[in-house]
Amino acid sequence: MIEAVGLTKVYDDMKLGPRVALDRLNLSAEPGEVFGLLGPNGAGKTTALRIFGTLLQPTAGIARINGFDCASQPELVRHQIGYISASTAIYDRMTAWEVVEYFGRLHGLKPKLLQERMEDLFDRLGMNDIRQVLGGKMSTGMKQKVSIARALVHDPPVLIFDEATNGLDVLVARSLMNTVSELRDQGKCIIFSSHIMREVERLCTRIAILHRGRVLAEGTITDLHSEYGHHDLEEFFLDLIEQEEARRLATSESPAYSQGTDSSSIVGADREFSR
Amino acid sequence: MNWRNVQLIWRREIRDQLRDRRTLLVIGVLPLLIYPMMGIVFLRASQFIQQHDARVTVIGAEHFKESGDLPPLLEGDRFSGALFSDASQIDRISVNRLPSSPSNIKNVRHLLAAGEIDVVVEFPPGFAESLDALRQTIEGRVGEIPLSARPPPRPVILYDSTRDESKLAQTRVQILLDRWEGKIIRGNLEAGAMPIEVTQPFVIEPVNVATDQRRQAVIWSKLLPFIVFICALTGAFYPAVDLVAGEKERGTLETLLTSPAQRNEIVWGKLLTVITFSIGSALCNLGSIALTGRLIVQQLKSLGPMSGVEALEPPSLLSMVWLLLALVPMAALFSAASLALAALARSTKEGQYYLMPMFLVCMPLMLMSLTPGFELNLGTSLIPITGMVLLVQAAMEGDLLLAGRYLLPVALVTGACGLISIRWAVDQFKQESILFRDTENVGLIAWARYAYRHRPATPSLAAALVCVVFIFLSQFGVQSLGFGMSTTGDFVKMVLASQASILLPVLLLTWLCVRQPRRTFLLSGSLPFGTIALAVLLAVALVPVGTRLMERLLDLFPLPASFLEFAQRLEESTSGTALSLGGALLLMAVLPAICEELAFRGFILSGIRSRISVGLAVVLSSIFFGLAHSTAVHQTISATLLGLVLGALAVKTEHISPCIAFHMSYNGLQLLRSQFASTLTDADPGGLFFRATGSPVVGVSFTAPAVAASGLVAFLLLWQIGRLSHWRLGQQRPDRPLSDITEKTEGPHLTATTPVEKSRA
Repeated sequence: MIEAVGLTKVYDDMKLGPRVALDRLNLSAEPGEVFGLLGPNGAGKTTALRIFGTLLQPTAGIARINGFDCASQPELVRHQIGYISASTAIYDRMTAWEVVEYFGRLHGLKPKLLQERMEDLFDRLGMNDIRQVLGGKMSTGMKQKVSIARALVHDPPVLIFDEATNGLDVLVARSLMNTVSELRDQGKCIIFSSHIMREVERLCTRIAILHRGRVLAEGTITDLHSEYGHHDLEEFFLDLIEQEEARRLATSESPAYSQGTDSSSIVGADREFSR
Repeated sequence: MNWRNVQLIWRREIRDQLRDRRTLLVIGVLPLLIYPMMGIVFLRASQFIQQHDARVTVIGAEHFKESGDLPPLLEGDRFSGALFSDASQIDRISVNRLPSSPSNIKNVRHLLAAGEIDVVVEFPPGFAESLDALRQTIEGRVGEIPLSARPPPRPVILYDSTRDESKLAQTRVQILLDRWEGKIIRGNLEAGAMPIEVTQPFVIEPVNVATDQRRQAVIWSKLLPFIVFICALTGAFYPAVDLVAGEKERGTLETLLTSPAQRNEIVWGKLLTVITFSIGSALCNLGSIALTGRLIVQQLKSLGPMSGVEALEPPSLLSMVWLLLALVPMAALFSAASLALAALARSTKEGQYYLMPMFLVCMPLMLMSLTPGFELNLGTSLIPITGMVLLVQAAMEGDLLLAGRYLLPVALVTGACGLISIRWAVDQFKQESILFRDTENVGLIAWARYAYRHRPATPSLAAALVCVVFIFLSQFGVQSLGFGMSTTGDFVKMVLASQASILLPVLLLTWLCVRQPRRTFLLSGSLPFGTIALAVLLAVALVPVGTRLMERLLDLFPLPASFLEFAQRLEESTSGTALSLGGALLLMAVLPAICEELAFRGFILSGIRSRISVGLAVVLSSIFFGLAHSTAVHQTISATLLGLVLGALAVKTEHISPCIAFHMSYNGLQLLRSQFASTLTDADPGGLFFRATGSPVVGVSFTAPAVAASGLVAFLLLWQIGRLSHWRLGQQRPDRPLSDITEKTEGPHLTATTPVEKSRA
């Protein structure tokens, strides 16, 4: 399962000063569930998922995958996850088969098991015709399939999809969504980030709406509909953002792009904690 | 570290690079093309030199045609065959004769400028008459020739230096004219019944005692390491940039970082790939050079006899073995440095910008070994790259004894540089910035402000290393000031300047890079009087051991005459009444103790400890301390060993005062020992402890029992100091410098309140 408690990430920008990218995120997702992270660009979705993917260290808070701490046990966490994002490319000078085989071997799979898994994956994802095609010669859709196969080869219990449908055409995006649904039905615990409402609505059992690093709302889609009285997720989403912006203005809260005096206090506080 | 993963990554990267046309072009195809191309150009030039037919116009030959006494210069439209050493060359120079007239002279100048002819030889009117007159004088009145009264006639050779054909023809005609002149001289001497020895009373015959084999070995040892190492450098750089910066650019690095491979496994896998290509590139180049060289030599031999070419044989197999053995560590060093530099770059383009600085550092280090008189010794063996080049040169020249003697320091320096580079690369891979580094948008001023605002409590490793470099540079600056050393004032100035050269960089960097100077300089907390007393006792106990060591070191590394002269002048300037004993102690014990301790055990050791284990940090800081005392080898070694003791004192006591007390006492006692040398040995009980040595540098030393006893005491004191941490439990070791905010924190401990909440509070 996936768990985050008070997960916070502050980037220290040389020009802008400290910037809170993720502000006390709490979430948990169980096996057989797709947890959706919904938010506009810059909401902090990728930051959160990169922390789960052990690419970033949290400034504060805990991120756990199947009980392993992402900050202090990154090697163990990486065996538990399959990470797919718009920016995890595949090698141009390797064939689809070679890419998947390489990552399978890095995961320490025995040759016989690896062969079986790969045959199965290539069949399931319909990739047999691109086995010997080099990454550089593949279309975006083919590349995304190889990415998924690469992330699934070690049969991880947890899957992280970060804006995975970015840049895909409708057909390929639909195929990816079907794959995610299948994986969910197989009992995988999935965290899926997107800024496209329909995708989230279709796939996710529960969602959290992020804006400027903060969770504005969280729950099942039905709960959110009934709680906020909206049937259209997109309308509801826009309402939430507007309310949040109005609240910020009313309380004169400094924006997430903290500057000036506010920023130094954040840095100071964090330094105290670092000890 | 899982070596299976390293091997997997290495094999993948090799396959990836072999599928990259650009890499193959730079590493494999280019060397296979470039040397044959260079060979062809060289061959063409040689053929041109050998085969070009020169067109010569001779003006005024009619002046000496009739003269019977002169040996023949021209025969028809050729130079006389008697002037050629190789008869086949006679027809290669055609001669066109023209009578001497102003219009002809004007015309041939035009023709020469237009490239119609290659050379013009113009004999002035009266040329032959002048030579005849000289001959007659010799024959008639030998004893009365006024030697300088008759100016010799001056024929002129006109040529055009901007045209190769003209330059070449001029050289060939000049040789023929010189031979003709020789024949005239010989005729004149015979006419005057003078022996030929008049013009050559003796002949110097240079005899080169070096064997052919050794001469060849020296040529190859200068040439091949340089070429091979340069190829290893370029061969390492391009794959390194592609493997790190290229992967960042293509987005595959993020994919790899989410795999179970650890960061150091990734770096080692990539490093082995770069080393493979570096060695491969060097071997490709070497092979291509060998093949081209062989073909060229064969071609040149077929063109005609050329002694220089015939003499150059291929290098011996053994020398190639040495070269290839040296190639492996050099390739590893270049690869590690390239990988670390490439990790800094965000894109391939940015990575390639780093090639030039790398070249600018490595090239002079390689070229230094070609400087005349620059030989392998302890000092040069400690220079990275240069030491290795000198070592392999010595081995290739067959001087294995010399090479063997400095193998260890060269290996240590090369290994240390390689490990530091690898560590740097791994460190960069462990940082988040490996994925998000944004160098191109950050201005220097913004960076400086940021760095100053976020300077750590104690110095970083980088600040410590910069401090070492600054100290060495300012020491070099002070040395080049050249103090006269003739008066006490000069001596005082020199000591003050050399101590300032250590302290000022430290103070400047402390101001710029450190938030807590007291912690940096180990000045926090109360004075540990007990430990200070122990440190003073330790200094007293170590003086006999140190002096004996100095004696031994001076036997091993005799001092050069220049140092002895310097020491003599130093003694003269400090002796006498001008500088009191108190003043000397202040200058040579108190001042260095304070300045050097604040620098080496304060700033530098604190900085190195921030990233490197305490033991290694003490070793590194003492090596830097030793190198800062580089006037003579024995001083460097002694200072390094004392640096170890001082470093141990610093880390065990966490206070600078015991270090200063030790340093002050040790220097002071050594000064007193040399000042009272005569009274020490003469005094009644003195003979038990002291003995005079012949060495002007050591002066009075200690007897064996005194050294053994004091050594035992020193050992006990050191053991006692080693247990110090148990005594001083209340005092904490300074924390590692606080990293900037983006660096990792331990998640589970941070959950009580988030920084954001704190900031709002």
